Parts: sequence; structure tokens; C-alpha cells
Amino acid sequence: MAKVKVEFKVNGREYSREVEAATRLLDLLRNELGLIGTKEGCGKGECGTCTVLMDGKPVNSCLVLAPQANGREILTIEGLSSGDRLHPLQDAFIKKGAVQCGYCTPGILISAYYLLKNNPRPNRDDIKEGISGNLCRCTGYVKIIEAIESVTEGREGHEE
Amino acid sequence: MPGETGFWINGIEKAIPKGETRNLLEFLREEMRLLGCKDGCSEGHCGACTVIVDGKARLACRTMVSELKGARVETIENLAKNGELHPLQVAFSETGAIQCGFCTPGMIMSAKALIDKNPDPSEEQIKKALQGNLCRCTGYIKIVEAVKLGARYIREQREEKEKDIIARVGENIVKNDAVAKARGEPFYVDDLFRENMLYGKLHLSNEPHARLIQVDIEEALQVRGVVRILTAKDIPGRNAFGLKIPHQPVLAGDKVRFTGDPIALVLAESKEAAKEGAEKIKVIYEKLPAYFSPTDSLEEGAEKIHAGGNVLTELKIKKGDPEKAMQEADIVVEGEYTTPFGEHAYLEPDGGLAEYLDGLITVWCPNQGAHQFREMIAASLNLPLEKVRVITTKTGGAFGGREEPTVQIHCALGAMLTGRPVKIILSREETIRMSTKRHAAKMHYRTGVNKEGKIIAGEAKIYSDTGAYASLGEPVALRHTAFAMGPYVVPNVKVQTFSVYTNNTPAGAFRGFGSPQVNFGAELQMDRIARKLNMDPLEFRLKNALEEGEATITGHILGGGVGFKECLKRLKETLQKEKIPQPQIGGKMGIGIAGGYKNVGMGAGLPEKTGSGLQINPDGTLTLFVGCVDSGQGSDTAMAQIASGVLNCFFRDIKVVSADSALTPDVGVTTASRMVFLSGNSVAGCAREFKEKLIGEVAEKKKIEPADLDLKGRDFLKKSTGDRVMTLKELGKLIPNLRHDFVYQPPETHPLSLEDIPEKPIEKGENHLHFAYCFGAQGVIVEVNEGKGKLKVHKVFAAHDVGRQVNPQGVESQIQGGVAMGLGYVLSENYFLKDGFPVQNNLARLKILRARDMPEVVSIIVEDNHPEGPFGAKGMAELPGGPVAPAVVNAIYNITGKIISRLPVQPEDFREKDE
Repeated sequence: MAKVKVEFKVNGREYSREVEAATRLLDLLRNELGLIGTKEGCGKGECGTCTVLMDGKPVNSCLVLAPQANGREILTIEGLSSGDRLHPLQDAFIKKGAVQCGYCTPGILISAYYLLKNNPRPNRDDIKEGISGNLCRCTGYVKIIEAIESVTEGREGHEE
Repeated sequence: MPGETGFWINGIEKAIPKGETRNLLEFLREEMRLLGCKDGCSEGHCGACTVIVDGKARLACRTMVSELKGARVETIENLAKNGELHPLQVAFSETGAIQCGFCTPGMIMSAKALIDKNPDPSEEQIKKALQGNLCRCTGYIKIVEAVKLGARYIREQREEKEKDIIARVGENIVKNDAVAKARGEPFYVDDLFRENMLYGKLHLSNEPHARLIQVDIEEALQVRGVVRILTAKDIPGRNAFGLKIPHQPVLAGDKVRFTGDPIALVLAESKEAAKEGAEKIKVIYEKLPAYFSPTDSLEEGAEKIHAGGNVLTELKIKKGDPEKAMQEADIVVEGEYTTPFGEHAYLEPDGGLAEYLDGLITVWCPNQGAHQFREMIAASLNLPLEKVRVITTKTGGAFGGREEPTVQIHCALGAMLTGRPVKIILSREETIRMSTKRHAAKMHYRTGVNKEGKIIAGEAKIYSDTGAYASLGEPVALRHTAFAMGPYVVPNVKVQTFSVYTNNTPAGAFRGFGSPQVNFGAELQMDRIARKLNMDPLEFRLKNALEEGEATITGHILGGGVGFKECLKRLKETLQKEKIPQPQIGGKMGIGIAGGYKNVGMGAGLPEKTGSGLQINPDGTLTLFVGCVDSGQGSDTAMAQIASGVLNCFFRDIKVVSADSALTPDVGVTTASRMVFLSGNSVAGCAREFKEKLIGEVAEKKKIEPADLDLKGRDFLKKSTGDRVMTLKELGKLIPNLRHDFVYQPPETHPLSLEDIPEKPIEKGENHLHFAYCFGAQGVIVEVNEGKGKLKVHKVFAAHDVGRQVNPQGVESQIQGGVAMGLGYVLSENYFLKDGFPVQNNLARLKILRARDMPEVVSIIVEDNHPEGPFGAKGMAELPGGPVAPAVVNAIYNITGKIISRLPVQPEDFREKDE
């Protein structure tokens, strides 16, 4: 199969890779770049587990072909924290008990990050809608919603 | 008293000489020779002499010593401790905030006074705090930066210190794997890669029931990248697996019984090649009649799915005289109820990775029982047990669906036969097609009550669809039988359960394990009777609730830890206070309730393996070895929490190794809500003995009576003096890797009594089917729009008797997650086959609840301590998924009067029909 060159930015770093045209962005991230924080849950865009941001917008990386990411900027879970310092959303997920088996966690964190970036003061319904592309089978979403709510603007750092 | 005549400088008492006329700056430099305090102007203009007095920044040159009676003075010399600089000093050095250095001590003291009060100051606040300090070199920019950085260092130090906690049972604790999971760190099986690794792909049966005539792999072998193809004849050992009856083929050789039966394993250099190879395999089948319901497979003359026929098991219990009691009943309610198959839909697809090295097979995989997988792998590979090691990777959800292997035997087989590492990750569709399901059930009920509202008779006949193989159909049937009447006293009972083979996907364990089905039937009966009696459904349940001293329908006279009545009472109080919200879908509002109970542990006289180990490491940390699998429910955390509390050492110093067949004890499958009780008791016992052992070692080495020693945090203390005599690290170096193991003996249980049980059994120490039960009662606020056929669950109240909470946050998580699954069971989730293939073959079609569908959940925790449980805890993970389904259906019944007898509820079940 023909190889295609993909030049793009992931978590602020420039990458250039030759891939087969049918390679999924998810596989490019995981297998070629070693960014295995992004998980595959269904491979069909149903579960949101593989959510990343492409040019600031959430996509299911299993439904995006790697060449489509050419010239784009991708944010994955690895880019949410900086070094040892976790993103406040990650801190909130940990403290509020929003992490159980953890498999959906990276995707939901990315969706939540996108939500707050575009709507720093979401209400509960906004939060629910914002993560409704992501499935979680463990938590019943309650603690995830609470965790996101705790870092919305004006509430950050205020523990009950 | 220095308070009257003197003061403290850096914690040292100093008398104020009579007639002292010097200022503090002069006193510090001349009298004390504390020369860090600089004299820049002696006029209070430059701040170079700043010190902290009673928590506030003060200019030493403007402070008279005679005024300092009782004061506490801190100077720059007090900041560095034990050779370590204060974080502010580190920050000043790191940011280059120091040039000539003359202003620095005063600057740092001003900054410290600020940060002591405000650990996270803004830039403005920093500038304000430093306004009395002049600097002529730096332009202040780096100084402000340094203060910010210093403040951060101090905050981090504090946070770090806060992590040094001794965890106690009953206190919230952050899960020990939460940070790694929130970072998306690699540890699920698909995150593992090996050099020279092969990818495996299974060719699955295309027929639900057929004889295999020919399997042609020739064309597939020609696919570029395909290395090897394995079929039934390549299996060196037992070509079968199964926890109870090992009869499910690893690679089908002569017959297939459902479309998830694998026929060949293709091993290739890439996933794509493996997939292409699997598609090119040609199989010739001789079709056999296929059956998709017990009704069909039980028909006379039906083709036998297994040699022994199509009934896996038949169970019957009889207590008292149900026929007579039913005749005497004032009211008899009869009903037929059906519940669907259920798919676990854990988010991590199933998979495995195997490596063969020096005769040893190692398999990394998600599972619910590393030792059970090892046994099955060893049998199929014809290897001794010690040549197989199963290491449990972080398991992305399980819920009962990972008790049986899917591809893990295949990975091991491929690795052994090729000598190369083999990874197989199932697609979602394959995961759904191959993995076990919750049993679909059809239940016929009759319940008789007297007019006083006491249940006097119950009858149930249950058909349970166990699919193509036995899996755990037998113990599931036992649970259907034993829990058929719900958590109520029913003196005269008859229950008959058939577990029947079909050509559906095999049914096995799924959260609740046979109880959600009968929970639905029994609780619907309860509401229907209550209405006929004109009684409040909750009062009716209270009147008949099981309690200590009462017998279950299997003749078990319950001992301590029966919190069902308390659950009902707490639910009643909560519901009474609740204001019914406004309708949102233009419908009528109403409430429904249901109770439920579930065994803890496998019971039934089966051996309950337990055990755990503790080891001290040379770095002073401890390793806790547990056999239970943490699939997200938090057992690693709960176990470390119990160990930390008993040992009295820091939670984070305990590293947990779980479910590695080479390192951890065989504790059976992580199932039946059993691990808090069994592993929890093992860990508590192990920690008690290990602590004694460690103290014994210290006592001997330090010649101190053991009774005078205790462990606190990282230190061994002599109780009588409070002195630290040794640290864990020091001991760890002296006795590195000393390990202690402990096996907990659980209370005895007995098999289900198949003999008739008297109406009022007498306690003879028999018929203890389980050593513990957990109880719950749930209520829901539901809105029904009959015209539009719409239904909305507004709020769920879940009262659960958990014995004692280990990690309350974890308990609440289990309730919320269970309720979400239960809501899926009643509102949307279904699973059935069409033409032998799953209709709901992806996550969208399975209609799992999304965040937007999730109502508010109020958890009500009842702690009726179990006398034998660790700290009174019992286990509770399964039950919360049960009562919510009948509660919703009961709410619809209350609102509309319509009896719905199936799950999931469909709009036509309650929509108003146009006449």
C-alpha cells in the first residue's frame, strides 16, 4: 500500500511519519508515537474511549485516518498534564473517585477539557451532554460529573 | 517564666537584661551573633533587617528588645533545618533572585511571613508584602518569581506530607492507581508490546449449530505475513475449558454450538495479515437444528446440543407445605416474567499477550482469576501448572464477564508453538460475540398471602437460558432458586429451576449472578400483592422482611448482619422528605420501590480459597500480595487500606501485587462480592501476624520487650519512652524481603438442601448456604407519559446494608455504577441473536446508558456490622444493580396500573392505546 507522509503536532511536539494511507490516527498515536494513553474501546466511534482533540475539536481517533491529521495539532491525555503536574481535571477525577477501571478515563478527560475550554461555567446538563459521547461502564457517571463540576470556573480549588 | 522576663529567639529562650536599651537588630548581631540580619539603614527604610515577630514581618531596627516580653522571634538562621534549605531559599537560589545578597535575608523573611499565612499568594499580594524591602540589584522581578516558586514548593511539600497517612477502615481514601489511570499510563494488555511479536486472529464459526466436515487453511496460509495457523489437532492437551464443566472447545474440531466458537487461530506478523488470513479460512459445515430459547431446545426430539441432552441442571427446593398453604391463602397473585440476556460491555475489549521463555509460558491479560486461567491454560497446553504464569494486567472492567477465558488460552498456545510472543486483542464485535452473558430467564410465580398481609406461600418455576456451554449456569441456577422469593420470610415454598442449553452465546457470571432475574420477578409480585391487600408496598415489605433469627427459603436461620429492615426504614424516611419534582416530559409522576438481597461468597459448601502475604522490602516499603483482581472496583485500595490500618503504617508505603499466579495466593475467582470479606479478613490477619513478626525482630535486635514496642508510620517506637528505636527502612535492610503469608478460614457453608425443609426450621448448624448476605432497598421517582409512550427516571434512592464501609467513596461508586447498570437493564439494554448472530453487536446497539441519561442517585448507607466480616464489612458490589429494575417497573404500575412483565421496558408496554 502507498505510504503517505504525515507531519503534525502532538501535544506541542512536531512529528513526521510515513504511514500507510489507511492507518487510523489512533494507531499512529499508539503504535508509532508510543502515546498509549489513548485507548481503543470499540473501533467504531461508539464509546469515545479514543477521544483526542484535533485542532482543538474532539474526534474519535479510531474514525480519523492518519493522513487527515496532516498539518493539524493533536492533544492527547499525555499532553493534559505538564511533567509531574497534573491538570486540575485530572486532580479532580482522582480526588472525587471518578476513576474506577480507568479505561474510559483518558477519553472522558479530553472531552471534559474541551467542554471547559469552550464553556468555563457549564451547568450539570452541559456537563452531561459534554461527555455523552463517552461511555463508562463502572461509575454511573455521577462522580465524573461531580469531578468536572468541581473545576468549573469560580469553583476551582474550593473543596466542599 | 520567660514570658514575663524574656523572649524566644528561634525557639531558644533568652532573658531580657534589666535596663536593656538596644533594638532587636543590635541585640541579634551583638548579643546573639546572628549575623544574617543585616543593617542597611538603621532607620526602617530598607527592610534588610526584617525578621518575623509573632508571625508578622517586623523591622528589627525599629523594635526595642524591652518591648519583646513573651515574643517569639524568627530569623533567617532558623530556616534551614537538618542541612536542608527552606523551600524559599531553594527558590531564591534557583530563580537567580540573589545578586549582592545583602537584601536577601530580609526579603526572604518578609516572603515567609506572607506564605505562612497565605500558601498561594497572587503576584499583587507578593509585591505588597515585599514593599518594605529595598533591592538595588535585581529589579525585583526574579524575587517575585522566587517567592511564587517557593510558595509552590511549600504547597507541594505539604501535599506530599499529607500523603503520609495511616489509612483506617471507614475513611475515604484516594485509590492507589487513580493517578496513573488519570494520566492514561500503560498497563492494560493492549498497551504491552514485545519485540518480534505475532498477532493472532480467530476464525469464528459462521453457524450456530453444526458438525464440522472440513477446515481448509491452505489459501489462508498463502497470505503474506501469515506465519502459522492452528486448528484443533494442534492442541497438545485438553481441547476444552470451563470453570465448572470443561467442555467448551478451545478450537472446535468436530462440532460448533454457537457463532462464537473459534475454529482456527491465525498467527501473523501484523494485525492486518492475521485478519486477512482468518477471512480466507474455508469451513464446510453440516448444519444442525439450532435453538434460541429453552422452550425450543427442550422440545421432544430436539437435537442434543451436548451428549447428555439439553438440560444442564434442574434444581428443586421445597419448604413447608406450599400446596396446602397456597390453598389457604386469602389472596394469590400469579405472574410470568421474562428478563433478557445481558452483555457486560466492560470498556476494555478482551485480550491477552503470551510469551514462551525457557519452558515457561507467561500470559498477561485482564481476568477475574489468575489461578483459574492458569489451570485452564496448563491443561490445554499439557504443561505442569508451575510452567504457566498468569499476570493480571489492569483490568478495564469485568462485572463477571472475565471469569471465563476468551483468547488467553489461544495466546499461550500460539506462543508455545511458535516460540514468539503472541498478542490477541478482540474487536468489540468479537468480544460481544464470544464472551459470556447474563442468563435470560423466564419465570412463573405464584404468591399467597393472608389478609393480615403475611406471605404464607410462594411458588416459582424458572427457565434459565445458559446458552451453548455450561460456564457458570449451574451456580447461577442455584442463585435463581435460593433467592427466588426475595429477602422475605416465606414459610412454605416450592422453587424449581431448569438451566437449559441453547445455541445462544454461553451465559455465565454477571453482577448479581442469577439474582437480578428473580429480583425482578419477586419484587413485582410484592407490589401486586400489596395493591390487592390495599397496603403500602413499603409497609408490606417491612411486615415480611427477613431479619435475624428468621429462616430463608433454603432453611438458613440468619445470624447477625441482617440490615434489610433498616434499609427499608431509611428509604421510607428519605422518600417521605422528598418533594416530587415537576414533570419534564409532560407525564405523571410516581414512586416505585423494591428490595433485594445477595449472597457474599460462593457458599453452598464449596471450598472458599483465601489468603494473602506481606513482605518487607529493603527500602522500608511493604509489599502486599493479594489474589483478588482489581477491575476498577478498588480492591487493591481496600486491601492496602486494611493492611495500613492494622499495621499502623503509611498507606502509600504499601505496594500491592495482585492476581499474579507466581506471586500471589490462589484465592479463587474475584466474584460473588466475596473479596472484601475473604481477602479482607486474610489481609487483616496477615497484617496482625506480620506486625508481631516485625516487632519481634526489632525486640530481639534492640533487646526491648516486644510488648513495649509499636509501629507508627515508618518508625518502631518504644512505648514507655516514646523513643524511636528503629525505622522500617533500617529493619528492611536487616531482614530484606522477609515475607509472611496467612490463610483465613471462612465460616463453613453447606450445599443447598434438596430434602424438604420444615416450615419453621430449627437451627442445627445446617443449611448455612452462605456465610453472609448483603441487603438493599431502592426507590425511584419516575415520570410516565402514556400518550407519547415516554418514560423518565428522575431520581434513584439506594439504601444498602454493606456491613461496614471500608472505603466510603468506593462503596458509593459501586452503588452509582450498579444503579446505572440496573437502569440499563430496565430501560434499554438487550441482547439476543438473530440467525445465530448477535443483533446488539456493538456498543451503540447495546444501548448502554450515557451521561445524559443518568439521573441523580442518592446513596443511603446502612452499616449493620457482620460479626465475622473484617471490621464488620461484608461486600456489596453486585446488589445495587438489582432492585432498580423492579423499582422502575413498580413505579410505572403505581402511575398507570399497567403490569409490565418483561425487561427492558418497551414504550408499547405502557403507552395508551388508541381505541
